[in-house]
Amino acid sequence: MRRFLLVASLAAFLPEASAQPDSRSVFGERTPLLAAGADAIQAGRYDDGIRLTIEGLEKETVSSRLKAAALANLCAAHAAKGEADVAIGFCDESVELDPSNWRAYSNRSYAYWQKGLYAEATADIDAAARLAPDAPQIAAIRGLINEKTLLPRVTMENRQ
Amino acid sequence: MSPGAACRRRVRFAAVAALAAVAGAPASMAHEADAWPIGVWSCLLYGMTGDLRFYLELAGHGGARIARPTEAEEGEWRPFGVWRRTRDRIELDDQLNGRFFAASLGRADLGGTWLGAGERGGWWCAATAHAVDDEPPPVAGLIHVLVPAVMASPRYPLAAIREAKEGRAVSCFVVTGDGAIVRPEIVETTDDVFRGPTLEAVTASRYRSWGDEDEALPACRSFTFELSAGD
Repeated sequence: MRRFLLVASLAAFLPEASAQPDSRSVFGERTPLLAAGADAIQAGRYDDGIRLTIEGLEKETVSSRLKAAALANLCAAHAAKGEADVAIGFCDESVELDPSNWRAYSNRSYAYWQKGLYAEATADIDAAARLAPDAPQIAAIRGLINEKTLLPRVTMENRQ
Repeated sequence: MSPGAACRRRVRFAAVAALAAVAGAPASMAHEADAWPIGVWSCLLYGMTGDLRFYLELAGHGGARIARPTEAEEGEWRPFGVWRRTRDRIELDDQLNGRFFAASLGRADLGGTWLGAGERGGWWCAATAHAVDDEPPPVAGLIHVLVPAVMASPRYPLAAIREAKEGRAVSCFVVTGDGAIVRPEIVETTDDVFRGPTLEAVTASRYRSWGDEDEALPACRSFTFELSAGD
């Protein structure tokens, strides 16, 4: 289970760098610190990733959209470390800067899930799904929410 | 039925059973070359309107007859329709009720699904030792009530919960005289995710012994998997 959660959270924060070639080239060439931070987070080196991303946000000039992506990455890294409250703060900032970034909603959903705030988690994963209906990360987080919120029942009937 | 007739029937049954042991009764020849499914079967039909037990005789020329409890009590067969073997299944036209029955080949027992006008369901049959052209087997085999001794409940598959998936599965099987469930199969399922848990639950279940070691009865159990929102 622990392993699954980690995989889900890692998948959830893959930044624009991996999914959008334009963003990756910007991260790679003009924002090396943010790119290195994203790579570190993706590799599971959360503390390094957080440090590099914060440094990148301080030293590198980025558009509000890329800043939102970097904040979403910080959100993901803190969520992966189990620091849900810190994660939610970064995701809030990210959503405010760029409401079209589905990863921020998805990451915040995961952080809410960690806190047991399933209604909030559901609202965010719904928002993420409206923006990226086919993203597998969204299905994975929705699955985690369903596991906690749905009550299963099996009715049996004998036929003879 | 008079005691004499009952005695004659028992003698006849014993003789047929003995012949079956030597030559192989039609039903016990399941999967042996082309004879399958020629023979006499003890069957259960289920659907929206209820369940029905009957004997089914499938003759080598394609004719089919049934004996419900009333007919079995009177020792009579009733014409039912025609059956045929296709490349991958057995098909049976119920000319009495306008229903179409299909059964997969490759199963030890005979059964599958049926379709009628606005209705559908399943059917399952256990082999009997009775021979074609004989009288129907004793009515007791149709009216005996199977009493569950252990009803294991299936686990709800975690993958289905995660995907918020609900559904239904029906497993049919044969109950031996000591109450054991053998050869459970899935007859219907809305999703393969329910297949494993259903078969596990059926396999872990059993019925009370019903005394006749020689005759097996068909039975089915349906499972409805539902999810509701928690608090």
